[in-house]
Amino acid sequence: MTKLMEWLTGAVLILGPWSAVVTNTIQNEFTKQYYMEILLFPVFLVAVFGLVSIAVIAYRVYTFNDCQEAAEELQQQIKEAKADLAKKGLKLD
Amino acid sequence: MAGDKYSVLLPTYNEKDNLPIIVWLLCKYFHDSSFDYEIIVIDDGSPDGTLEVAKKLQEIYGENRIVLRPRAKKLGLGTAYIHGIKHATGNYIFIMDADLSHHPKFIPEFIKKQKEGNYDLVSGTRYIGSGGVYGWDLKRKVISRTANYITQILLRPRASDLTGSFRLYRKEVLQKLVEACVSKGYVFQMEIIVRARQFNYTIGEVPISFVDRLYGESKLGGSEIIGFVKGLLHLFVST
Repeated sequence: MTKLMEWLTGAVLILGPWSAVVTNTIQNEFTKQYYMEILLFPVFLVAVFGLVSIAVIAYRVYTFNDCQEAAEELQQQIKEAKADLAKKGLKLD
Repeated sequence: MAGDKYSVLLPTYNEKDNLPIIVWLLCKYFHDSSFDYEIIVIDDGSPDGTLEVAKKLQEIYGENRIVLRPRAKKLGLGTAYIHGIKHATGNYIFIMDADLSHHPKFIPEFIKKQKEGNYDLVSGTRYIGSGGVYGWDLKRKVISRTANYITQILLRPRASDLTGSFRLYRKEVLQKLVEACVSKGYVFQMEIIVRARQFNYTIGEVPISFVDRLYGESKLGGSEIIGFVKGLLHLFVST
């Protein structure tokens, strides 16, 4: 199954029963009492997903390592390499 | 293990300044760790004289260490890998960038990781552990993390860094993956990981530091982003 098919399957599994309730095809005491909540449930899911996503991405950006030492080490090694290569016969600017 | 040899594929285009440094670093870390190696320089007809510099490096380090397999013009990364694999005498292949954004000091770590888990593929990751990037501003970091997040949700690849291009492969694994891939650019590297999962190859990860280009500017324009989204969607619907 492709990822698209997995998502469509998941969507059908959630939206199937949901639309049955929302169109009153299926109803019972529970669905009548919580009709508004059920109706808005997908919006709620999307909102939660959006907020969680923003939080996760913000956290990951904040903790993204900056590798300052790696850059300095590289600069140092470039000098070393140029000197050594010049000795071996390769002049670089 | 006796008999292991690592072939480093270095596709180059206008890298006359960086090539000597990366070769020096590769030879240093391979020599210090005593692994058998060769560096295959695949130059795509660079107008800046990269190939001449490569020939001088060959004189210094020897033709068994620096192998030149140039091409007439810029033909793309996938074909460069195919071309390189054909001439590789090692049983393992490193792919990495020649512009000094990837540091050869991680090579012994890749090799150690591969042996630890007997992995088919070891991927260098900028996103976990001590991995990271130097030289990116806030906007670039946000774009990178957001793109990676969306990719993780849509493709669930069980690998933290899909667009990275510092990796170690068993030769036959890379061969099979490159043959199976159709994408270009960033998405090519993503597709390789996705296909590797499809083929049930095992993937290990090593945190790496990525130092953004010193000589010249790397671009992340609108067309790159659109290309990325298109490629991501293509993988989403087809794998």
